[in-house]
Amino acid sequence: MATQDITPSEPSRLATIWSRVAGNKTFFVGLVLFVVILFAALFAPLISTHDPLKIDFGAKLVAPGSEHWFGTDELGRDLYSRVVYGTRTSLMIGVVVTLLAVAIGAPIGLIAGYEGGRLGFWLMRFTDVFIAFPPLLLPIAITAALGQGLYEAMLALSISAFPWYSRIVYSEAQRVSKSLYVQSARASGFSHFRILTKHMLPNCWTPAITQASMDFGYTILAAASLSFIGIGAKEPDIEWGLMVATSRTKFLDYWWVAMVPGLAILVTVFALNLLGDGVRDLLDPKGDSK
Amino acid sequence: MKYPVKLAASLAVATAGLLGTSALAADNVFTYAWSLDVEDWDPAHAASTEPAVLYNIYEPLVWWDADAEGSFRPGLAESWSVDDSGLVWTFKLRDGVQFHDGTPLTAEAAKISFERSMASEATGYTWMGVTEFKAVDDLTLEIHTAEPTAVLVAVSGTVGSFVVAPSASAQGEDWFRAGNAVGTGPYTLRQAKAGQQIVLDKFDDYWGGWDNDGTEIDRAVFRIVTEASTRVQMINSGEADMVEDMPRDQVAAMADDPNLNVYNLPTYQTVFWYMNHKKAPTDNKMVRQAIQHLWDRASISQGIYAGQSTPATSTVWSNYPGSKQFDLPEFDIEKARDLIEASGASTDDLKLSVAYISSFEEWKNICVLFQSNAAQVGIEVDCIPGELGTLWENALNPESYNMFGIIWWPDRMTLSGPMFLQYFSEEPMFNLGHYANADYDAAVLEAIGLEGTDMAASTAAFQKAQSILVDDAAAVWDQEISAMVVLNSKWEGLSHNPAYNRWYSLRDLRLKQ
Amino acid sequence: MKSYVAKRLGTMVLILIGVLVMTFVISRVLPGSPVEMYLGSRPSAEAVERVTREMGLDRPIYVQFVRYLGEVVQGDFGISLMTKRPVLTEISERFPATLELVLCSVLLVVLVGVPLGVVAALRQNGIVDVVARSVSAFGVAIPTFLIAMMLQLFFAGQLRLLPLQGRIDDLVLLDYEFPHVTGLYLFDSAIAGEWVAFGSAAAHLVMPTLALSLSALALIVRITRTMMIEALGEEFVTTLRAYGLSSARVNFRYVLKAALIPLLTVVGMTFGYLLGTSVVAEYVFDWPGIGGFIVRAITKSDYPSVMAITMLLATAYLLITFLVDMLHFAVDPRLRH
Repeated sequence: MATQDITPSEPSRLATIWSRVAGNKTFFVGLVLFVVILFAALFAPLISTHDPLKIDFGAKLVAPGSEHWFGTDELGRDLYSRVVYGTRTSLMIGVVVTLLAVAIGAPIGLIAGYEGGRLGFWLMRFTDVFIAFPPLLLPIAITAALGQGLYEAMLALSISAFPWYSRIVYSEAQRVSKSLYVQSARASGFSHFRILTKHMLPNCWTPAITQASMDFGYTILAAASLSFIGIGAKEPDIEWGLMVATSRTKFLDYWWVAMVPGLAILVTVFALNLLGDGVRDLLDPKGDSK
Repeated sequence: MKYPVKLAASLAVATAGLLGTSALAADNVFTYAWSLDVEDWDPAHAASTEPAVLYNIYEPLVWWDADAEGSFRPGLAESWSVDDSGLVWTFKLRDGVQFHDGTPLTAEAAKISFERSMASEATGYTWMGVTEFKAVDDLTLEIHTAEPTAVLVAVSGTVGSFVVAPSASAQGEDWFRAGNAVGTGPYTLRQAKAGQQIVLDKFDDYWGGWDNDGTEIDRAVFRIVTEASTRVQMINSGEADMVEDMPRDQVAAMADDPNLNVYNLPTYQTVFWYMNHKKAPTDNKMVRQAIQHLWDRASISQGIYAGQSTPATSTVWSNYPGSKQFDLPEFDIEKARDLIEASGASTDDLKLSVAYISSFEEWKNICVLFQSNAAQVGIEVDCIPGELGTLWENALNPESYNMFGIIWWPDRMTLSGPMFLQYFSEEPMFNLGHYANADYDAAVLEAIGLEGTDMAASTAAFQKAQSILVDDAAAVWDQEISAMVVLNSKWEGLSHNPAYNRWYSLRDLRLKQ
Repeated sequence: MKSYVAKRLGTMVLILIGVLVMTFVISRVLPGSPVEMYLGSRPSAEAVERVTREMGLDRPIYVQFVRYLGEVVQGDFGISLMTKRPVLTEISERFPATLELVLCSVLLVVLVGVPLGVVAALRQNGIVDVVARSVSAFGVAIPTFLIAMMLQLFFAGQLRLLPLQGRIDDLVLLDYEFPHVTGLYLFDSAIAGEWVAFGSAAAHLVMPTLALSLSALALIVRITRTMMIEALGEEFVTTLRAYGLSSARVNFRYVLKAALIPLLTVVGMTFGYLLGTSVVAEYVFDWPGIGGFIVRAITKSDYPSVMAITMLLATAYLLITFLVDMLHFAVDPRLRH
């Protein structure tokens, strides 16, 4: 009989990940919060107490209490329900903007890194132009051009964000394209497309994913800011930044109309930041990617 | 020894500054936290919100006054008459009136002012029909017209009717725009800092004279405060003596404050919503009627305007001279639903774009309310806030919005203004509903033609035109709103003539004894 | 060294042109006719045509851009459609207000954030560290407008201690006039000895500075802490300690210096970050700076103002980054050869 190698049993990949997750306390907190938020978004109709759009002048500006847990706004709409439904809008914004930014930015960076040389140089200059703008200014200018609206704001945020992903992927792609692995693939005569998708992409996407997870929270913050200054979401969108904006003339006397959606933003972004940090720790523990 | 004392003194003074106290106590300073700003200081251009400030600096020949005999009372002109042909008006000016620069008021000065405004694109329309201004002598001005025209309406209007000092008229647009003014009014312009504040100082040589008993305003500061929450803060803390344009809900609460008096002043301001007659689905009369039935004007009045408005009963303000009253459609969802079904409009068509001026907080809520009610009969509403200029420009294109919210107040006391501008088919700038009805046009033209000669017949024709509008369901006539002014209770004498929108005479305000 | 400077300068100019192109492209799409805005609400057709020709809006796009470029180089940024005054005047009047706010914020962020980060790094997992990390975590999650409104609610609304908005009490400004030498009210009023005005200006600065600084503070604390920890872990530190140098000496002379260099970059970035975030803070506090102005300009389709301000802020940011790079270069011996 042939002897079998005795190897110590290795914990499964999943178990490794789980132990790292559970060990990292802040990430765990973030994850829990995120699950709560996700739950709220998915089951909004079930956990709301009122129709978030229902106008009721008889219940105008009611303070938080038993009937309306978080109070009502100037049209008598229940704030608790609006916060719950707001999770849908915020999560959508975060996902779509980040996805779009990566989907546009990563391929550009990938191709530039692969080709190298002058293309790479000019790509860096091109992204430099975007990065030259102080944060928020470019999304503001673009949204103003496109017109007010949630989708316009999301597009503006994506346009402002994609150059960052191009840069990240570019530097990674540069490194990878010089590797033996890719060089030999090139020498073997594979098509560029095949090399890009099969050889380059899998090795370059980690920093992009890491960055995306950390940007998720910031995107929601930026979108709320845009809505706040009046160039993002608009009625009947249920968006927290918009809710704070409409409360401005009243909040000194009716604090909950501003603070409730504001705190919703804070908690959500906080949770997503923790989550993002955790993902970064998992995928890129040395934190070299920025 | 000296240094610590000086330091302590500086700190004390700095702390005083920190707490916002200012040391002037001798003069009476009146602070008005104003939500607007003077965008154009040129009297030949100023046509919208500027009168609120300018009527303290400049004066017209004649004032419109609902309480006066014949509705007009003397201003800089003591008396006036028209000759038998109806083509020559003669105004006798007051003697002994000085401009702020010391020069005397003359008919020549008035002539120059009016010629300037007649030549201006922005205000020239008020002098339509006038052929010549003639200064017969120092105190007599003649206005010649081609046909009998309502000249009194022009000279008492808020457009282009100010009498400006010749030295100022000569300086031209740019000089005015830099923030300069020379008029005959009770206050002079001391400082105009765009976007920040306007300071007016008492003109001691004002022809109307002063009591000089220490109760009058020596200096008025219009602080430009665009944020409503700041205005609320300022009136509550005493930093401001007067505010208007308050969030409607909070004004009611202020009535309880013993330091404040809240005034509910009728204005001629009406809120209405143009409906686009050239764009589906508002080109369909039944759809328009349905929309009228979806407009919950009672809730808007009580819930959004906190009772500080009344649902409109006409196409203009109900007390407006010559206006006819109607039973306008009530809020009725079932009726709206039936009308929609009968209209033949398909579900795809039932999408409305409603534009409104974003600075009016109430309108945002009116649109959201409509959005919510309309959804119940399957109509999808898109609320589009924006700036007046941008929206207007877009609305000129019939493809743009289905509805456009407008607040209208008279710039001159005649029905010809709203009736012509808003619905006349050939009118290019204001007929934002792209309304075209030949019968309406004929009635309005007839009415305008008769205005200079037979007021009764003219009014009858105007009312006929109004009836046509109502039958056609031409627009949604929403609310007649009042101005809520909050005044610190140490002041009294607030006066307001609705013909001069948003102007509160500084000269009439006095400190209580 | 000269070639390094020249290269960086060249790159900066290139990017600047890119910025110009970009702002031009964006604002071309802005809705609303600039012509009607300029003339007021009842313009005649001939007036519209005349102004269209004057403003060059009837020429092809690339011609318009070249014309714009020429004007920019000469310092002509056009007339604000909102206020009818030259954009350059509007900007130069308002820029000191933004500068004062941003400077105060940078000072606060650096003077508080850096020491906090250093101490947190030195005593990891101690009280200071925990506080710093928590503040950091919340600071980057809280929207600027929320913290601004919370401050207003508390200090202005409830306590009535601080003014709600604005830069200075306008009546104070009128009656306690001081020459605007730099445009920074704190500085100008102090050197003129006008202490009432100084107090008013200072009171008005408190909340906006706090609101603006918080998220930048959170970032700086975090970054300083991280860099300090890295620097502490460096080999040369262990070596120095092995030689018997005291901890304190090692920390402050060598470690801090090593951390200082990347810190400069971070301070530069902070400046840029604050320039961008100042838009929201200025809007909430009705601060008469260019941030508040750009928000109004956008809603009124005042495209010359929007273009000019966007370009100006991007240029300022570029210049700061350039200066920081130069400083970096001067301070770090490793870069010079």
